[in-house]
Amino acid sequence: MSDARLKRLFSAARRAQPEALPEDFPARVMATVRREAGAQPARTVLDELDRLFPRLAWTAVLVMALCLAGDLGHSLVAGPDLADGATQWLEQWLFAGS
Amino acid sequence: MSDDNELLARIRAGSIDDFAELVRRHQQQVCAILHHYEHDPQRQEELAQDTFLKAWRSLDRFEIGRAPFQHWLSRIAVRVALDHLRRRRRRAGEVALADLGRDALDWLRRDDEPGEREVRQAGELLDHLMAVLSPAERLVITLMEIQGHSVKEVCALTGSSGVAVRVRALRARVKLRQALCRWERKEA
Repeated sequence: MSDARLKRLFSAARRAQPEALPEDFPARVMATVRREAGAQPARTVLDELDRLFPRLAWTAVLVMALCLAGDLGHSLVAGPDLADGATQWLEQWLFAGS
Repeated sequence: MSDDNELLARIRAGSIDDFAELVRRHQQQVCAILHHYEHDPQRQEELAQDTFLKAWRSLDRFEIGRAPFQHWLSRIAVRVALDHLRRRRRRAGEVALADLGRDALDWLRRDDEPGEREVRQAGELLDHLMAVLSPAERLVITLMEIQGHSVKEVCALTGSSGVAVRVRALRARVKLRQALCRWERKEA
């Protein structure tokens, strides 16, 4: 029973119309905006970095993925991969004296 | 007339005055959202100003062309409304019910269409009943039941998960039913 009355309340509230804002509402907003714009400090390098960070992070991920794909492709075509080369180099260096 | 994206591009290029045109275009939409959370016209205007100022301050974060500007602005208005509900809740006892009179419940029991007076009474009564809800519950139930948004749309507007929205809506309906029963008993 109260469910039906609640629905009726919602339905009536849905009909409520917002009161119109005053004519000069945009001008009032703009007065504050201009005040803020005038007081805003110049952008620093750190601000720019902060703004660009998501793009830079995705670019770095893309570059890493390309490098890995390149290494994989190279090792499939031209033999030993980067890890093998590194192991070989380490063995030569470590056991050079013996 | 240029569209929102062109205006935004001009604003970003330094033409601050073009922001006034954006305000003019979207002030009705912002007001339509906010008037469900605040009935006092002066406070409503303050909230609308707050919404546009927040939009202005974070205009850099809006990605032109990714989604319509009005969707982004609606999300800001909803956040402003939620902050307002939280502040209002802290000011205990402010949401008091005006004397609606003995016939306030009569139209609820009838089947006829509510008139202007009934619509105002419904707003006041709902405002009073919703005082039992948490700000997040009130926001969700208002968005769904009064503004007519779907769960998916509420998720997009509030940033909450679908489960959270459904749970809040369910809890809110139970609490409101109980509050309405209590109010009816008290008024009887």
